Amino acid sequence: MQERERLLEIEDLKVEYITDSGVVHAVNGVSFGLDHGEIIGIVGETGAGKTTIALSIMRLLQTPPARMAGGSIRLGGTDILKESKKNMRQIRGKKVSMIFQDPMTALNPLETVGAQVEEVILIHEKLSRVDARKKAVEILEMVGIKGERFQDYPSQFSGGMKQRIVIAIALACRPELLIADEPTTALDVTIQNQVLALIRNLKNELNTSVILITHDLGIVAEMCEKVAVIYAGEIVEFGEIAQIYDHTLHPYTRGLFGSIPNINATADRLQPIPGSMHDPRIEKKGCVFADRCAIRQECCEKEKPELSAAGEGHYVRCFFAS
Amino acid sequence: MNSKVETRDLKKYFQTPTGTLHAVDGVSLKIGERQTLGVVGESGCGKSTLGRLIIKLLGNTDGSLFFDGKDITNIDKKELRELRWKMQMIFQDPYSSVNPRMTVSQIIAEPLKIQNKLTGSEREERVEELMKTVGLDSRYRMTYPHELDGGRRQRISIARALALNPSFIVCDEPVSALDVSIQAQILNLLKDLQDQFGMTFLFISHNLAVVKYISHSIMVMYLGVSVEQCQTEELFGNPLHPYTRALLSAVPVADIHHQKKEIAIKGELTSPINPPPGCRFAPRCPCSSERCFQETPKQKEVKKGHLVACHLYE
Amino acid sequence: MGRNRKNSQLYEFWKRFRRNKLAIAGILFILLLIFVILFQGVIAREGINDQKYDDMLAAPSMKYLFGTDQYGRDIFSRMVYGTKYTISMGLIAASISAVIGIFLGSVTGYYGGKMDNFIMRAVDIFMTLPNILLALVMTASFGPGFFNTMIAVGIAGSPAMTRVTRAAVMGVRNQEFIEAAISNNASDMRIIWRYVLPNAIAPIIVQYTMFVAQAILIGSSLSFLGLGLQPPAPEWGSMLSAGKAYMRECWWLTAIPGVFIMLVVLAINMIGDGLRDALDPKQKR
Repeated sequence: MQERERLLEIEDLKVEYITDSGVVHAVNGVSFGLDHGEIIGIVGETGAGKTTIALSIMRLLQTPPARMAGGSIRLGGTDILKESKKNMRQIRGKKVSMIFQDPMTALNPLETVGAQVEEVILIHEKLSRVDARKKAVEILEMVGIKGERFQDYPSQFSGGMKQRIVIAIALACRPELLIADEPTTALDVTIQNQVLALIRNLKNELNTSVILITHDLGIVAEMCEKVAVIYAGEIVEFGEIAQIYDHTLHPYTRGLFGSIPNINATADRLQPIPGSMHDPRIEKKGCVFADRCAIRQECCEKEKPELSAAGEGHYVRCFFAS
Repeated sequence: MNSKVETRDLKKYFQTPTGTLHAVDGVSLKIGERQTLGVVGESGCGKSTLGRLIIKLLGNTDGSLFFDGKDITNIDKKELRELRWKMQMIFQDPYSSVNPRMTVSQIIAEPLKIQNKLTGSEREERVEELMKTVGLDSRYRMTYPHELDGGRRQRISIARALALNPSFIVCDEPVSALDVSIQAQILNLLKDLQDQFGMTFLFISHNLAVVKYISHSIMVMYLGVSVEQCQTEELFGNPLHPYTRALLSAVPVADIHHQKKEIAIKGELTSPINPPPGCRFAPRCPCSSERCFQETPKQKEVKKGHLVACHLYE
Repeated sequence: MGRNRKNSQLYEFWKRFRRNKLAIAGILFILLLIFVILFQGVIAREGINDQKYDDMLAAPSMKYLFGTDQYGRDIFSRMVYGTKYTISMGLIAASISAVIGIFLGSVTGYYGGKMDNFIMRAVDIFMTLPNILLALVMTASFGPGFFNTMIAVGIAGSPAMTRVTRAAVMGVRNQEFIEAAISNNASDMRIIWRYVLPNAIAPIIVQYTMFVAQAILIGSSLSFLGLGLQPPAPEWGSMLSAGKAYMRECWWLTAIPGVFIMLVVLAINMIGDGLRDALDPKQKR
């Protein structure tokens, strides 16, 4: 693989939510990096902290209740967590953009889609209205929306089309990093396929780096180069997809694979992970996965395993994984 | 094989300001005793409406409906009451399918209370037993649903559905709101319950892999119409309808060695309001011909037990 | 065991309610007023209609705690005797509006259809008229008197209550747990009572407490117009309006009934907030 330049470096990120019932450790020491043009998948269940990581990079977390408890996020040399609010407004959209799960609520229903794309361009680039409009049409056509629909309102588009428009807005200013938070969860499979193909093509065309957040290991297999498996706010396994899919190490990752029915094979019985995720308000001394783990030993309850290398670029947070 | 549930040319139309919405447009199906029929299709294909028609939460516009061999299309209120003890539904959204103002044991006891055949302490016992059956720890008896996660709430829903020993349950996307690890727990639970109590399921889902895992036979729906129906292995081994094929090829597989046979289908779902004649799938179909736009294909048995509604197989 | 559970639910409710200190303060204030009503004869030092010609318009002092009015009547005693009118006007009229409004609102919201259309159009027509005018017309036709005024004010408040209830009911009606109840053969009565209303209660309580305040004020206005309580009955509202002429020189004539009406309204609002939260099990921590 050719050498690529580092774009994003997250180090020991810690995010907490202060709630009435206690402090929730939503993200607990997450570190990973991303190169230019690379696409990484973040996989995990509800409440694992996936979206919190994404929103931290965007600096879109409401503080309070959220609190950045430590760590750094470096994007192309600048520490995002230290930027001023004003600078962030420039960074968002220009350097990093995000698309959300629900395309129905991501667009302003009272403005034409053309105007919404145009607006983003005008905010970030010094262009005349005419040029901005020209560029907006170009971008909409790039995501497969015909120019004549420029004046249409979001309600006149279907779900898949809306997600295309959301992607157009996100990519209007050619950001270096695109964060896609469950971009196809609200869509049907056939439409999902179209949208994923679009993201993949645009990424190649524009050399954008992508963080793809999903719960679907199938989508990751199709789209990503690297995967971070996240559980209860911690990365439990990280590596290239070949490593994760063919040499699965962490018992949680294995459990995930055992839980999904496979369309190509006939399984007699799924092997689910017993129990459910522990209460994130209670800080755990040992391994976060210990109480659901099939191979736990006494030490797992007492001591927290470190994320350690199990192969080149393959990291796992488990004492007994290898 | 005796069929537990049967529909013949079942239709449900809704009147909307812009025209008649053909939610379910002539579906015929049979579910054998102790069998699971999976219904797959994308949002808006009418699969949820179909489920609600079969347990008579909605009245049908046309066609007929049989349960245990008896015509239940037009039954009176008293018969409906009796019938409802025998059929139940498990819903998609574990957050809105249980009353947030009731405790877990109240929710599960509710059908028993309404039927009013057991005494208070017998009821308590039955609730305890049901919670055990669905794998809910009895310490949750007094908790409210919002204190529990999606998986446990879905277990409450299942316990409530089981309370009166129904012989038929409609499961409307029971796992699509759950995380994968929880999803697998619930799927296994449903399978075990079927083995244990010999119930018949109609299992509605948009997820082909899930339907494959749980169903004996499968019906693929597109815009209110059944396009293909057959045994599960047959459908995955030998899919015939172009829509089924496209659907199968679109599913992302969690295997990096999987070779994807991309069958691109154009565009998106057309409107179910005042649909034009011809095959519903024709505008998106890669194999459509002139005829598909003029003549509605009838569902035909092209192989033993394999029904397809497509002009390609005539 | 069954009794035990009931108790523990009530206890849970009380535990949640107790956390809201403002609501407790509201309850204490209303209890105090009820105490005053019960022992009015002991607490009031002067008769309500005793006119002291030497002490007309006397400022509050140790002798006359709240001062006297233009006829030399002791305002403190009049306030004490007036409490029962104000409290019952507010609570009973609001309760009448709640009974009518919740019934109509849940029936229209739950069943929909033609009846819904018919009732709601009627409600719309009623809502174009100001409450006070409605109450005025009704008291005029029922004849004056405290009891009739209460009924009139209650009926006048019911269209708004109907609207609020109907909207809340419609929000709950399409939830899946209602379908589950139907498929379990629950009767419509049971569904409305056990499933719909408990989940629609928050806006209803807010509307109720807001209307308590309004009812007190409408009742007072009617008295002022000579249709409600007849003078010299010591009703707070009519005391307030009667004092208007002396507002510049003798503040206590208006300020005292005014402040007490405000306190009652505030207390009821705080109790309402507390009830709303305590009835919602999600509030438990």
